[in-house]
Amino acid sequence: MNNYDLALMGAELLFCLLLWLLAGYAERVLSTKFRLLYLVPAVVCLLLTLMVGPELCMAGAYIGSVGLAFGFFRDEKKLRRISSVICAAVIAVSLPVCLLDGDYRNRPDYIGDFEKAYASISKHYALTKHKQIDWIELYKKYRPQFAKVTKTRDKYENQLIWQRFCAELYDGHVNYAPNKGGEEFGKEVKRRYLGNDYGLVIMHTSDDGYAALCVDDSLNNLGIHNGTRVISWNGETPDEADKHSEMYDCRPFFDKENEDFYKGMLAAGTGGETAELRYIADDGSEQTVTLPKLSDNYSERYKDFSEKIHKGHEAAHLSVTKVNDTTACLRIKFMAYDSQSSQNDDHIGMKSEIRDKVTALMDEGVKDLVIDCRSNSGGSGDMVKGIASLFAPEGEHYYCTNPVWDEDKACYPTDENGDYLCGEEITFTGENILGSGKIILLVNDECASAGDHITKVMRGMENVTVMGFTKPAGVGQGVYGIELENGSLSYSSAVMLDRDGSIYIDAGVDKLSTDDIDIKVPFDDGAIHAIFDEDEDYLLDLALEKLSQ
Amino acid sequence: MKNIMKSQIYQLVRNRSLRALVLATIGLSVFTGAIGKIEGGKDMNASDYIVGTLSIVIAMAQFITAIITGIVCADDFNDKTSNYELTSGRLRSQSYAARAIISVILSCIVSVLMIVLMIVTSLMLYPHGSSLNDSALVQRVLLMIPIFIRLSCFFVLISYIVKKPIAVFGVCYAIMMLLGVVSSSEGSIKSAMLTGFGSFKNVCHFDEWYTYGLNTPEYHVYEPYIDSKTAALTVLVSLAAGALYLLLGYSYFHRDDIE
Repeated sequence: MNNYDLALMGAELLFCLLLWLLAGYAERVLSTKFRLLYLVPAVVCLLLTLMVGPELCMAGAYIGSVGLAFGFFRDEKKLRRISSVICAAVIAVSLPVCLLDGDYRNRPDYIGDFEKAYASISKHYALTKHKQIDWIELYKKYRPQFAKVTKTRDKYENQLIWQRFCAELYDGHVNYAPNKGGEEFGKEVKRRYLGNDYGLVIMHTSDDGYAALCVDDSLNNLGIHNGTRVISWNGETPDEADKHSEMYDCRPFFDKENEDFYKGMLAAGTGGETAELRYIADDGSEQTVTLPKLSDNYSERYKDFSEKIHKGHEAAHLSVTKVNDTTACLRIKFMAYDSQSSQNDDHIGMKSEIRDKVTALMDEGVKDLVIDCRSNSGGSGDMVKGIASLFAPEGEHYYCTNPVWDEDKACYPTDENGDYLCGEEITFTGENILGSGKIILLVNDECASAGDHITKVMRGMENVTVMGFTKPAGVGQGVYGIELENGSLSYSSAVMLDRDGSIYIDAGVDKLSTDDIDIKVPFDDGAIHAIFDEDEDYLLDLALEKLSQ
Repeated sequence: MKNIMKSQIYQLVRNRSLRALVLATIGLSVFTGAIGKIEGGKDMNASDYIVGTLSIVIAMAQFITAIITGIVCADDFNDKTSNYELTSGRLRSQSYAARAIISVILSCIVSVLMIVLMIVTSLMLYPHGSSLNDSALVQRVLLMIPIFIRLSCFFVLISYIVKKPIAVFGVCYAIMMLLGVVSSSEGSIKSAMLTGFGSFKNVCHFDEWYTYGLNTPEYHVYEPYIDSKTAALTVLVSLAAGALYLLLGYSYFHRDDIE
């Protein structure tokens, strides 16, 4: 039980006793001041309720506290004592009610949150036309689900519904975070909905097949190991089996090509007490086995797979480390430097720091650079400008275009087609600190937001090659967040445009973002062996090999 | 009762310190409306400024409500005017009602005047801006009237208990400090309407959206109107609470030994 509620009950019961005794004393020692004491319980109840908020189960305590004010209106000793006893009984009833009622302080208003969030996002979402979002259909689809979960009060189910709602917009900037979440909550959501563990993850390969990954040792005696080719799962191709996962509609992809890359990744969590796997054994024969469920927690194995495939160079944020005689690696984990830079938006200090580090290594013989932006979670657009300007060839370079903002109407005006109008172009000047050196920019599908920006900006440079298994995430607009009672929802609301007035980066109805890569590295047996067996940084090794050519 | 009211008005008009206090507070609210301009604030518009400073002026208005109510209701206990009034044949109900009516009306007028003057000053000095339109401002100011009535009724109750104007002001100050501490708690949002001070927070709150670009300032857009459900609840709860406070105050005064 909540401590404030317990304190309230205890204090009010004590008041009942004191006022019962006071009734006799007040009769002997006549003073109108004693009447005021009968208002004190109500005042204390008000103060404590303000701290923690009202609760239906505590109605008895509230009624009893206010009921003691009867003694303020009537001076008779007998009436005051009777009212003290009655109020004490009513207050005392609250305790078992609170203890026995499962809904005690557990009435989250999920549907209220949805209504509030929907009102905001449907009004201010920047990409409604670009993605042709039908808000009314979404409302009709999801309102009943939120109404149901408000009754069941299942916070995990609420999270799952929000994730599905966010995934409908195909936008990495649309996210719901619960208030009392944290790592454990996220783990529990994944445990409940990602499915069972049968000892492997299935992943799409570049030759349009499927391979087993993160294979449990217990499957080795069946001839199943990392890279074993998978034909079917429970009688279906893995991409079909994927769809049986409860989290299929929540997959975090915002570009169709990235979505295709990860086909099959949820399949190995689907099934009952057993699952049937058909695969190609080492001797080339097709084998079918029935795998028992090892646990009900596919999420741990999936997390292991995700960490391996998304791993970047293990170095500190903004560190520049020499990886061989002629190449250094600049690791950028997110687009933030320090509080002064974020306030002033100039990043002069950051540029100076990177410039010094790179030029120091150039004095030691380094001529090329790998910029590792894998799993870069984004941040400041000004930092994108800062980094890009350090390495861009001399001259002016284009970044993006701000749309026109109408101060009087407080909106982004649009043309007759409903498209935003182009305003100021944002450019920067290149310093080319690397001189004739080459740059490879490493990205992956978790490289998002400002990470997407830097990919798009630098891909246009003649000295830069962008490389990865996949394109970056494909999210480029600015974000706004709305606080709800039980969580918060963020969504794209600050528009960014390309030079031709089209939306910057984010995919439209075609589900293809305008952010791309130069070299799409095949996810083949070599990659699987290097990453999952040898724990090597396969992409970095390939980048170094390319730079040495 | 009419005569008591007339005598209260006569007293108040001739109360130099009250006059000075009201004028100073009104001057302060005008100053609050102008201070952005005085400090050389650029790129400011009246809408955004009002959104930011409304709560400051309301806090000042809450204090002046306490002072006016304290002077009207409690001051006459110091010089025994209330005692003589009752011994001369006036009913307690007449004495109470007259003072309560005067203090509620006067404190509401002064408080609303303060807020309106701040708004008018801002609108005169800065470009209007697009965040708030005039009808939204009128809605919010009108919604404050029942809350000021509630607050004034509360201070009437306090005045008849403590019987000293300065103590009424002290109670107001203590409550505002206490509620300031409580306001950071989780429950204060859900229980905002339990107090008049909390209701003011609802009326001063503007749902906000903002957007931005690269190398541009943030553009803030405020939801100008309060939803009808909140508005209706505010009026009903405020008037009900005000009536309750007056009832409690009269019940106490009715049998109070004012010797």
